[in-house]
Amino acid sequence: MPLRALFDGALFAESYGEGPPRVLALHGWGRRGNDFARSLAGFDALAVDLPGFGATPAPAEPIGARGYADVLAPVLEMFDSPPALLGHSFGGRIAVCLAAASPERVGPLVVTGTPLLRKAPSRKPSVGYRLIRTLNQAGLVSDRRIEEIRRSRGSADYRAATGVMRDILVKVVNETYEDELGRLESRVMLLWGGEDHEVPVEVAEESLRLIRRSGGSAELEVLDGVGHLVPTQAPDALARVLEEVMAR
Amino acid sequence: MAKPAVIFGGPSDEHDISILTGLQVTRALGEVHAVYWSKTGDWFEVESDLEAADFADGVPRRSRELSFVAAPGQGLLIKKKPLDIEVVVIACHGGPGEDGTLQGLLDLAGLRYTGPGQASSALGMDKLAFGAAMAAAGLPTLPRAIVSSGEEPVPDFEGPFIVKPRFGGSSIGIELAEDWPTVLALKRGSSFFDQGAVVEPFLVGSRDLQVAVRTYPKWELSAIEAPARAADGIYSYDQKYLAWGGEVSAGRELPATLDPKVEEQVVRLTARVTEAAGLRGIARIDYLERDGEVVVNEINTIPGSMAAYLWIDPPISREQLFRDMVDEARSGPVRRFSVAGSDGTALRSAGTIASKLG
Repeated sequence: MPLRALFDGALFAESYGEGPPRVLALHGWGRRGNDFARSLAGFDALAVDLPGFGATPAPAEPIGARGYADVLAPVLEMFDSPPALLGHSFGGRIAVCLAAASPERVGPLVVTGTPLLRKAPSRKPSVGYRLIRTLNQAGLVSDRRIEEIRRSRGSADYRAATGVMRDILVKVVNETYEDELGRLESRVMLLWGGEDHEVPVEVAEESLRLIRRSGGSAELEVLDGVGHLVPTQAPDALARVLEEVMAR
Repeated sequence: MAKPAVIFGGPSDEHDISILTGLQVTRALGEVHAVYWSKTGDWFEVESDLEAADFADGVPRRSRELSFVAAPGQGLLIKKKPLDIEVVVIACHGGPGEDGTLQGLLDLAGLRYTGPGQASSALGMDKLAFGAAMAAAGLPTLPRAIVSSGEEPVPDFEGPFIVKPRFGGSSIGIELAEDWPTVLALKRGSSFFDQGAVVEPFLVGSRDLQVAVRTYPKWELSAIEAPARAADGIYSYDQKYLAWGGEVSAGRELPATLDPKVEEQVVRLTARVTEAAGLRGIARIDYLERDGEVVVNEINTIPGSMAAYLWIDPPISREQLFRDMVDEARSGPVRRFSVAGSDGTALRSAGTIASKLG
């Protein structure tokens, strides 16, 4: 969808639908609002390019997800009624911070593939990587090749980020949101890729426990065969879940 | 023995893609000087059997440093001695390797090279000038306007607008904007538009058609392709390049199913663009088609992997395509600069410089 400049170009967003927007979508690190093009096709929604991604200029300072939530807070004023927040990965961090900071201005939350807790269980390497590692031990894949793979499996986001965005990334990956999760008043739907190796389902399960323990309302749905990029890999499921939480 | 020199890389957004093209050409041609032009603009002769990953972290090991001297009989030098270059294959995409800068240097060094000359190269990389030249030649084009740094003038067509960097060959930086204030905000905010931006109307319901054309051994068209579009209607950088060579990308239609009248327009327009834009070598021309009407959109004078994947009808192997390019350059003239009229008469009668200033 075409971009629209908000706040004189401080922020850019794609707008979906003809009516007043009812959904605010926040994309993941290194992505942009267009990730939600297929999920939001039937909705009245805004999908922003977060500062530093897509068309939106980077923040001046290395802010974390809470800082991003502060930057986005004025966007909430553009909605007639509290919008549903849809957050993927990094965008989910911001969605949770926004909802915790401004509960009266935020509707239900759909959060997918988001590292809300830092104490992630140890990651099990992917089947593909384990196979290559075995082949390497058998002498069928060179040490050099496996080193390349290891490097590419490392922090690709970190290597791709430059300037203030690299500082932001470092800040953000060290954040954890137990406080925010315990304060959520919005209903939360956690939608997770069963094959998400970046943020495994265990993170979602632990987040679910935390929200419920504080008396919050949350559910988890795991999508079989889907990885980390739920907005582009499972747009129909994302649209269905969004419709469900908005209908309730 | 004189050999072709394949130049690839270069200080360009498309540096990495150029390496992929350059290594293909190097491998297909066999006996060549493989010349790597680094991101910092330095020149190296590299082994011709390197893989793409060898360049992932910069200049490969065992590269030999070269220098470039833009004077007759010079060109690329190793330890002050010119490489024995028969012809240069320019496998650069975007930036100075495609925009006429390198072509101009090779002209000054008296070297023959593949692809169009300096002026045509520069025209192909300037979307405003290219559109205007095609319109002046009477060819159907989209209206295209410069985004001026002031608020006016608003173009005389309606949004949504496609905003593109004025210079540059790839889809990097292209945005779809809902209205004119958004266009101006994008121009202010994005570094991609620092050298200028152009807008054109977004043709809802149109589709892209692409065709490659070559000028040797005879003027010839490839199959016509209808590439897939992103969900927002723009043909993205990822789609265009990450499936380099084109074999992997999903959703493209090659050859495209076309109304014979549309196909006839593409063939006719391509012949005219070839002439009006001064094409040579292998170029790719991008058209937009809607309701049977075809308009010229953009040109790529050095397309990724020389658009080799488009040459399925008639089928032409990559090796054949690259060899023909070399033959074309080899058989062509080097650029001559005229000094006619500068026979010293004006100098002898000029008097002193001081008398001119006085």
